[in-house]
Amino acid sequence: MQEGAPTESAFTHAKQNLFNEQKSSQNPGGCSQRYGTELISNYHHAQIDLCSGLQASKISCYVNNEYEQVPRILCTGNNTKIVTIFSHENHVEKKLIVDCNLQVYNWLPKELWYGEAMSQISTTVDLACSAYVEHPIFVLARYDYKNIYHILEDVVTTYETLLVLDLDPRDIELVIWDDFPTNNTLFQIWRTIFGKGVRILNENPLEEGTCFRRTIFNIHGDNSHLSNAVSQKDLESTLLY
Amino acid sequence: MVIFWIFKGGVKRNTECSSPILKSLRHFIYQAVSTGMENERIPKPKVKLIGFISRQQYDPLRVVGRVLTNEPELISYIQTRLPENWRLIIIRPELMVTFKEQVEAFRKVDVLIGVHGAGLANVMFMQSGTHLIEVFHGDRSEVNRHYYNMCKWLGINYQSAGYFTNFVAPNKLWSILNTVIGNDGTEKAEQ
Repeated sequence: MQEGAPTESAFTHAKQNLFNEQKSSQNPGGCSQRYGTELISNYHHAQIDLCSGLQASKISCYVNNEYEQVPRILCTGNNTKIVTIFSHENHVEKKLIVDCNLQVYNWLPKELWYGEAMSQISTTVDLACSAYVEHPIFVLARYDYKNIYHILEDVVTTYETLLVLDLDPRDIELVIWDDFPTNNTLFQIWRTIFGKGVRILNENPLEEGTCFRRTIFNIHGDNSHLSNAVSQKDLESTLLY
Repeated sequence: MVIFWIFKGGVKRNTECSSPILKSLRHFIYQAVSTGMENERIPKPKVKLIGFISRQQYDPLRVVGRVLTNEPELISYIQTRLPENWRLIIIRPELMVTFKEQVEAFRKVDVLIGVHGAGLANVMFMQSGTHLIEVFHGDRSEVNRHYYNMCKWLGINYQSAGYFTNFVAPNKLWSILNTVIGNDGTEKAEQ
């Protein structure tokens, strides 16, 4: 950052901008619940613990199902681990390991929790951590890597997740879980957003025994603002135009 | 067959909402790609910019659809008719080497013209009060509302132009553009 430049982060600026935009918008009723600050606060009305208690790990999820056919879900974990196993060339199997008993919510099918990471969850009675990553990590299984419309869906759900948790991405490391290529121009979006770097699990797996104090699991990209919100409830009376 | 053509594509409904969240995400991206200097007030440019997204074959592994057969003619027709304070630039996002370059290219345009396709998602980086002219032809019709909705969410003005073939009569597109730039009383709202 240049001398004399503001020390506030881009995220702090953007949050202020969100409140200003909210105040100045002349939206019809209901818009804020889909596209504004009410969308963010509504997540906090439906928080569930997938695992908690006296055990080492904790997974909490925030659910927004007021306006979508498929609920939007984001989760955070404390004391978790990701195990990577090289199965064959260019493919790394990944598992999310937690030390707790997972609650089953029938209304919340596992495959909907999260595209990849949360559906590859396993329990253990001992995480066997030899080192902890102390800063938060954001686990992302991208919806797409090439088509900018779909990449933006991942970006929008990432931003929404950060707003709900009020976490500044300047302090977070991104961990790429998926197998998509990472060498195109648009991948730079992720390096722009996250301040503590980007780890691509396929190229740079974690050392054995690495655990995370705090992990964030994104709302899946195909359930974003850009496609789902408008297709479900946004002006249901306006079919086509 | 005609019904299939009419309905091909994704999002089919209109939004009536602006999106404070998308607008603040745009603000975040502007700030995140900035070097610090962007926080200072930028002198208003005297020349206004029309960005024309050129849709061409660029990937040997896939065929890009909806390519206009007379794109050079269209561009030349527009360029020769623009008022003195307007300039047209050709934008090919797939050739840009940095994300910052891509954001800045779209941030500075006042009017964007492009054929329906993912490239128009770059409206995400355009400023409030600017304009998009979306050209439909080939296998996508005007029932596809992806970019209408993005514009509505982001405070960008929107016009569509639908054609049945991949040849767009230059005078017809010019007529739409001329109306847009003639009515361009709005100023870009710096985010």
